[in-house]
Amino acid sequence: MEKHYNIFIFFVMILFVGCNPDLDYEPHGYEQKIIVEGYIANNEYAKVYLSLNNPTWRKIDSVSILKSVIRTAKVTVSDGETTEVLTSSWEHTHFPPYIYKSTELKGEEGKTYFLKVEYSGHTVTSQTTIPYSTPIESLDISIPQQDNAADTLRTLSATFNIDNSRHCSYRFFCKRIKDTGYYETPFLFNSELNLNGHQTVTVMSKNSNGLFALGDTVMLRFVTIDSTSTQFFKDIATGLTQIQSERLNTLKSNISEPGFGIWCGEGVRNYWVVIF
Amino acid sequence: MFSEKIFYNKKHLYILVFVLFYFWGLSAATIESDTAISQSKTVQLNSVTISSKLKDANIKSGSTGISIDIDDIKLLPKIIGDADPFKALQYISGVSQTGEAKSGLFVRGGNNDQNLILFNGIQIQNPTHILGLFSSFNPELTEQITFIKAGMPAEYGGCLSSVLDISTSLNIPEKFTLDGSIGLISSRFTIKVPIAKKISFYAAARSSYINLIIMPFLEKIGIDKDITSNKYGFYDINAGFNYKVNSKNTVSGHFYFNTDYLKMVNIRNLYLGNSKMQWSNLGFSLQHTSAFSDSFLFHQQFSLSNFNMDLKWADLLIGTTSKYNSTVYKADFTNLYRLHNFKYGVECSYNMSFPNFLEAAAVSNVQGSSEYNSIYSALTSLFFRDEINFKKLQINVGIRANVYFHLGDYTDYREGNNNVYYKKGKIVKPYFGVEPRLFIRYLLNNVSSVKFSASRNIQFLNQIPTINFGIPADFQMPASLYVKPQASWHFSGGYFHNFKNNMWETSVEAYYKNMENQLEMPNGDFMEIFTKNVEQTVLSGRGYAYGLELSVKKTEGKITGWLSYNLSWTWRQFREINNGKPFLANNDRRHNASLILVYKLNEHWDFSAVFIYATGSKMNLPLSWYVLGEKLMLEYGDYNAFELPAYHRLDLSVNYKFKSFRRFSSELNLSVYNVYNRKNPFQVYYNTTDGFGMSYLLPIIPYLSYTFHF
Repeated sequence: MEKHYNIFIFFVMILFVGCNPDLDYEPHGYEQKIIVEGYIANNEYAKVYLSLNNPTWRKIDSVSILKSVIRTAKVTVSDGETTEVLTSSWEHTHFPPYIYKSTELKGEEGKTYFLKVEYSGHTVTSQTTIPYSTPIESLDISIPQQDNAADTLRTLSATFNIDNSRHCSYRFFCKRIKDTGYYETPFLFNSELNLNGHQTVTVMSKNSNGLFALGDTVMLRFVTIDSTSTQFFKDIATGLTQIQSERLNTLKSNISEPGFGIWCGEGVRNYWVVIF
Repeated sequence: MFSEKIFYNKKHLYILVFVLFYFWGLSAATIESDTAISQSKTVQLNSVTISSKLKDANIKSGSTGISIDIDDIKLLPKIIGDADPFKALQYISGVSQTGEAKSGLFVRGGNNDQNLILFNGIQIQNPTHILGLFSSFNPELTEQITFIKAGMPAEYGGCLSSVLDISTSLNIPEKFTLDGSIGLISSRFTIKVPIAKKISFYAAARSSYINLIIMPFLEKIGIDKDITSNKYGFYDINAGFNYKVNSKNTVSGHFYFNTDYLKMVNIRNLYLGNSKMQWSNLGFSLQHTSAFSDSFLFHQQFSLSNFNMDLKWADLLIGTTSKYNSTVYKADFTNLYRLHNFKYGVECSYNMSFPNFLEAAAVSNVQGSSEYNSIYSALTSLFFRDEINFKKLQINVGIRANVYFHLGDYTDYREGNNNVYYKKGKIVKPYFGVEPRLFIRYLLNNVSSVKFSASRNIQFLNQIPTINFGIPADFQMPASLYVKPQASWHFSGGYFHNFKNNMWETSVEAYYKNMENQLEMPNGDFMEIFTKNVEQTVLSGRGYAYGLELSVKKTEGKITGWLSYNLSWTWRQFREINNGKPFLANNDRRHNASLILVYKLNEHWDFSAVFIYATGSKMNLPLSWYVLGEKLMLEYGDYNAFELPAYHRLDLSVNYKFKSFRRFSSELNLSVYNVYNRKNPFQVYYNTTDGFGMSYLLPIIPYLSYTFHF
C-alpha cells in the first residue's frame, strides 16, 4: 500500500513541479551604442540629444532612462568652415531631457553639416544636408465636416506643391500658445517619396479630435527632410512601439558605429496662424 | 525555369486530353477483357509503395518512401485516445518537430504547405484537430500510408517536400464490422457493411463533447471561468463504398469531411482578444481501376476538395475568410514489360482560391482593402516514369510536365487607378514547368544498399500562415500574376544496412534542397497582409536546406521501436528581410531526435513510450531599448536570431486487451501525454513592464479510452 502511495505522491509532484525551461535569453549581438537624435535647420541653432541603449533585461523606469542620458560628451558641429563645440543643459520639455546646442552656428539651406560626438573613448560621426524649404501655398480654415463638432471648432488645412525629383518628404508640427510642445500631424507615415504636385494636408491639433478652437493662435512648422531622414522617421513611426511586432530589417541609421540614430537636416518654414 | 507560353485554345486542350485518356482506357479494357487477373494482382499493381511486411524493404525499396504499418501505430501512445498515423510521421527521420501546439509536417527544411496530403485521392488542406494534437484520419479506416520525402516518382506533383498518400481498404469485408473508441473528450465509431458479394459500404464518425461535458464539469468544480468560457469542438465524417464490378474492374467512392470550431474568450498573451474561428475540409473522390492483364493496369479518379476558414478576432470586430476549391481528374496506366515498370498519365485540375477577405467593423480602426480577388487557375500535368529493375540496380527515371494558367476574372490593381480587368476564362498569366526525376538504388549485398535521388519539384498552390500555432489560419495563395510558383531541386543520398537477419534496420542519409520563390509575410505583422491586396504584398525569396539523418530500427522481439536523429540547417533569404542576408528559418532545427519503444509483455499487456527532442524554433526578440524621437524604441538584431528553449516530451501508454468473446474484442488504454509535465514554450513575448515571459499550453494530460471491435 505504501508503495502505491509513493507512486501517487510522485505523480502529484510531477503535476505541480513540472519541468520548467529557463528562458535563457542571451541577446547575442547586443552592443552598447550611443543613441543620437540631432537636428539642424535653416536659421536655427543645431541641437543634439544623446543617450545610451539598454539591454532588454534592464527594467524600463524613469531611473534607468535618466541613467542612460549622456551628459559628458563632447559634441562638435561643423559646416566645413566653422566648427563649434556645443554646450549642454537640461531641457525638461524633451525626452531624454538633456540637450547639446550650438550658440553661434546656424543652419543654411543647401549646406552640409558634419557632426562628431566623442564619449567614453568612442567617436561617432555623421553628416547631413539641409534641403531647401518648401513654402505653403495656402492655408485654409473651415468649418469641420463632423456632425457633432461644436460651432466654435475649425479645421486647418495647408496646400503645398511637391516636386518629387527632389526625393524629399514633409512634416507638419503645430503648437498652440497654450501647448507645451509641438504636435506632429501624422502625414509622414502616409506620404511616399513619389508624391507629386499639389497636396493638401489637414493639420492636426493636440486635441483628441484634431480640431482648433476659434481664437487659437497656432505656430505651424513645415519641415522638408531628405530621403535618408524620411526612411528613418517612417520606420520608427511604424510598429516599433508595438512591442510584439517583428522587424524584417534592422533600422538604417546615418550615424557611424558604435552610434545609432539620426542627424537630420531640416528645411523649415514657420507660420503663425490665428484661427477665426 | 518557368517559361510563359500561352495556350489560347486551353479548353480544347483539356477536352482532348480528357477524352483521349478516357477512351484509351476503356478501349484497352475491352481488348483485354478476356484476360483473367486475380484481385490480389490488382492490389499489387495498384500500389507502388513499399510494404513494410517485407523484411528487407528498407534495403530494396524504390525511392525513399516509407510505408507506415498501421498495426505498429496502434501500439504507440494514444494522444487523446486515438492512435494517430499522421502524428507517427513526426517521429521519423527527416521530419522536424514543429514545437508546442503546432500542427503540420516540416520535411527536410520545407514548409508545411509543401506536403501533398492525399486521402483516397482527395487533396487535404488541413489534416489535424486540436492544435495539431492528432489528425483527422480515422485509424480504423486507414489501410495503407505511404510517405515519400525524397525521390518522388513522377506521378506525384504539386509539392516541394513530401507526399503523404493515405488510402482505405478496397477489399469487400466478409461480415459486418463495428469498431469504436470511447474517450473522455471524444468518441468515434466505424462500420463496414458488405451489401452484396461485390459491394460494400463504410462509414465512420468522430465527435468531441468538450463543450457539452468537460467545460460544464470543470466549471462546476470551480475551475476559473477564464478557461471554461473558451469553447472548442470538432468532428469528422468518412463514408464510402467499394464495388468490385468484375474480376478486372473496381470502382470506389469516398467522402471526407472534418471541421473544428474554436471560441477564445480570454487567453492571456495570445493577443487576439475575443475571437471565433471555424475551419473545415470537405472532399469527395470517385476511383476506377481496371486490370487489362496481369501486366497492364488503368486507374482513373475524379476528386473534389474544398477548404474553408473563417476567423473573427479583435473582440469579434474584424473578420477574415480564406477559401480553396479544387476539382481534379487523374488517369494513369501502369505497364510491366520485362525489366520495366512504366507509369504514365495525365492530371488536370481546376482551382478557385480566395486568399483572404477582411471585414472590419467601423469602430475597429482597421480599414480593409477593397482590392480583393478570387484566383482561378487550371493546371495540366503529363507524367511518365520508368522503373527499371536489374539484378542489383534499380533506376527510376521520370518526367512531369506542367502547364498552368492563372485565369480571369481578375482585376490587376495598379497605381493611379490604372487597373486592368481580365474577364472570366481569359488567361492572366501562364506558367510552364518541367520536373525531371531520378532515383537510383544499388544493392551492395543482401543486407545493404545505397540510394541516390535528384528531383525537380514545382508547386503552384501555396499557403501563407498567419498565426504561428496549430490553427490552420492560412491564406490560400496560388501562383498568379504576382506570385510565381515555388520550385526546388532536391538531392538526396543514403546508405542502408540491416543486421541480424533484418531484425535491426539502420540508415544514414544526407540531403541538399534548394527552393525558389518562397513566400513570407511582410513586416511579420499580419495586419499588413489583411489590409492590402495580398498577392501584391507577399514577399518572395529563396530557401535552402541541408542535413544528415540517422535511423536505427528494431523490428522483432518483445521490445521493438526505433531511434531517429536529424542534424539539419534550414535557411531563407529575402531581399526585403534582414537587409538581404540569409537567416535561419522558423522551422530550422539543428537537432531533432525521436525514440520510440514498444514492449509486448504478453497477449494482454503492451506498453509503449515516445520521447522526442528538438532544438527550439527561431524567432525575433529585441536586443535593447532606447529613447529616440521622444519614444521608447526597441532594437532588434538579426532576423530570427533568438532560439526558443528546446522542445522535449515523453509520452507513455499501456494497453490491456480483454479476452475476446466470439467476434467481440476490446482493449483499455491509458496514455499520458507529456509525462514529466515539461512546459514547452508556446510563445515568448516581451513587454516594457515585465520584460520577457513565456507561455505554455499543453501540460501533462492523462487519457483513458476504451476501444472495441465487433
